[in-house]
Amino acid sequence: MNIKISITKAIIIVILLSACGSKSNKRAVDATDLDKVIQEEAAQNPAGPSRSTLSGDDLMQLSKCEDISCVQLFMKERSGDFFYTKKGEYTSLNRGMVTDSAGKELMMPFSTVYFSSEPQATWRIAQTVHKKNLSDQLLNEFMQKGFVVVDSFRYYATEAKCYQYTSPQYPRTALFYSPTYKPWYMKGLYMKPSWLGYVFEVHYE
Amino acid sequence: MRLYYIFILIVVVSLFLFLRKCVDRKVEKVTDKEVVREGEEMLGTWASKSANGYIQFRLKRDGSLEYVLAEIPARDTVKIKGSFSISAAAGRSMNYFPRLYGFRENGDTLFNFYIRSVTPYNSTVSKYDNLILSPNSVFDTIEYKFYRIKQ
Repeated sequence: MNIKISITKAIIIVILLSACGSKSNKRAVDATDLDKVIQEEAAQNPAGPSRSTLSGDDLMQLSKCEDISCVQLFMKERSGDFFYTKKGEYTSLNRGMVTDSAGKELMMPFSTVYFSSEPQATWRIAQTVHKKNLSDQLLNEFMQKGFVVVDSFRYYATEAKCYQYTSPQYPRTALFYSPTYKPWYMKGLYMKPSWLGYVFEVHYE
Repeated sequence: MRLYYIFILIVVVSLFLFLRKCVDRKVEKVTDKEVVREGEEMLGTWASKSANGYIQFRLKRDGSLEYVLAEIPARDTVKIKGSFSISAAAGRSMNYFPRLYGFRENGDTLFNFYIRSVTPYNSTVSKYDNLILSPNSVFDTIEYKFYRIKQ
């Protein structure tokens, strides 16, 4: 009889101990240690992309490239922020929400970099930015370098109005800025965008 | 004879699981903490912190929700009570497109997120339990990481 009671007690103790021993609950974090845990995990993870677009300096430097290998070498150094999509195209690793003209939210890379890769093409570098605040930021950067509007015209590459900027500090460089619903030279990830893209094309002559 | 022992084993295991469940519920009632078992990894208190603020929500076994939001540097803390549900996105399979819905007491939607992942009960990989939520199910896009908090 005593043995039976002892066994019953043992079973109850085992059940009680297992009830307190949830594996998930054991992996819980103390709320006060949350900062420390987040920092600890962030330190272990590889750093993500740090920016969404190429800077004005980058675009001007790229525009001086005379062949594809120069562009590839330049972009290789920025492979933490951009990945090679296909010949003539690089896409930003930073992605986010972009609102189209109907108010619909779309998830997409914030920018794409294109260059003419056809053997007979006039050498061109362009960056399409998909978010207005990033476009404004980049345009401001050019303006701070002394770039001012010198001309505007309808540009066949974007099928939209294009503004030409030049700066006395960079005499041989011209920026062509064009907000458009069309892909630059029919290139890109999106052939029929429903959102406004901002094309920054830089020429060095 | 062998069948008899198998039957005894099944009865003992069933009894153990039943009693464990009873004790779990009693412990939960007394301590006001979710005792999480296999298949219920979503339950419990989850929190995340960033430079902008602190979010914490508790998913209770009875389907109720406690949501806390503290924005930094504002001193006010918003506390909302409501309910939650986990179901598939419209017209999609629960296995691939599970979503977590949070509702206020008046029925307004508080949040609606795709459940990207939750640490399995028997995980030996993760040191801490994580719940990763995302606005959509598109691979490699925005996600919010929450940690299980000791209640």
